[in-house]
Amino acid sequence: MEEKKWEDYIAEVLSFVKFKYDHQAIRRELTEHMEDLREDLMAEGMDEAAAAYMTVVYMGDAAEIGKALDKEHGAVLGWIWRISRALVVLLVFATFTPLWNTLSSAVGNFFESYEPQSESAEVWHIELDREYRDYDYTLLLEDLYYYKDGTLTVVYRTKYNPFDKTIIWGATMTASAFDESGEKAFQGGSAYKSGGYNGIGWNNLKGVSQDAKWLEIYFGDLTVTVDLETGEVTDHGKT
Amino acid sequence: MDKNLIGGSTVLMLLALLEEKDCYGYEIIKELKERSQNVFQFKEGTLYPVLHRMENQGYVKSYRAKAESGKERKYYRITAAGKAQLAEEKKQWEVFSGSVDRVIGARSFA
Repeated sequence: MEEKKWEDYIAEVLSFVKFKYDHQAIRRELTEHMEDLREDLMAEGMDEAAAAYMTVVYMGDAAEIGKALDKEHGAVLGWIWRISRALVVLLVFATFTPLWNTLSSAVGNFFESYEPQSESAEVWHIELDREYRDYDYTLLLEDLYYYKDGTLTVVYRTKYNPFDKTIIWGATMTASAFDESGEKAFQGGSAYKSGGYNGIGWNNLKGVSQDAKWLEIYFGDLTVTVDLETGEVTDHGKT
Repeated sequence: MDKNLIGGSTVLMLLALLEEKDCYGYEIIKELKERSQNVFQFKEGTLYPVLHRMENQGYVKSYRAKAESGKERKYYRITAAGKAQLAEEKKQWEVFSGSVDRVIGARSFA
């Protein structure tokens, strides 16, 4: 019964507020006020029904309050506010989405590390530790692994300044192993490269013979030669 | 004394109160009743159009937070613009009440 009276009262106030989108917030604020008031009136000794009734009386004329609220919740201002808020959200989203993508791809692959590419035992390992630069693009040749089953793996990293908007140099890495006579000393290969600005990659040569003497790594115009017996690294070409 | 909160010196009182602490609507009404020793009997609902206007004018900002009772309430906080307005209205009030005093004083001496 009393609930109904409160509802009617608030509905009457809101009937004067033309901007419907603010109705819920106003209803909530008024209801909370009335609940607090009723509670205090009951604490003063009024029974619940009387307190609920007096609450409506104390609130004042619904039409007067509703008309005054309508002035503060004008539809024009309300819509400008809502639209500009939506624009800000869009703008923030548009600004930060590419930045987020950039950052996550810059950092995302940073902790990724090499996992052995062969089930069989490692025969030898050469630390290459060579860095080549081309403008903002950095190539790090890290390691060379040779496994018992004839797999030879070149592990490398690439780094690229994510905030440099010049063309990304999309060179891919290839490698070949040769024997003493200069003939190819492998049977095939596969490669992996994580994307983004900070990536790790490896090239696997399969069926590399024990007799292979040197390895050539090609990256753009660059050729890096690794003597597989001494581990000596020489390079020629650009970058 | 029956008082409609819309208009008059309400904004000055509300800003002065909110300068002391953040309040929700019912808290403001209670404070005003207590401080005026129940001289001000408000139509309590008329507080909200005033608070909402002050928010539109940038004098206060609202936010929802848990009250001491544990219930969530809509609090109002005075802004820098609100503090500047308070200083201005205090000055005007002093000029006004000073003038009233002089008028009353002049009459009582007449």
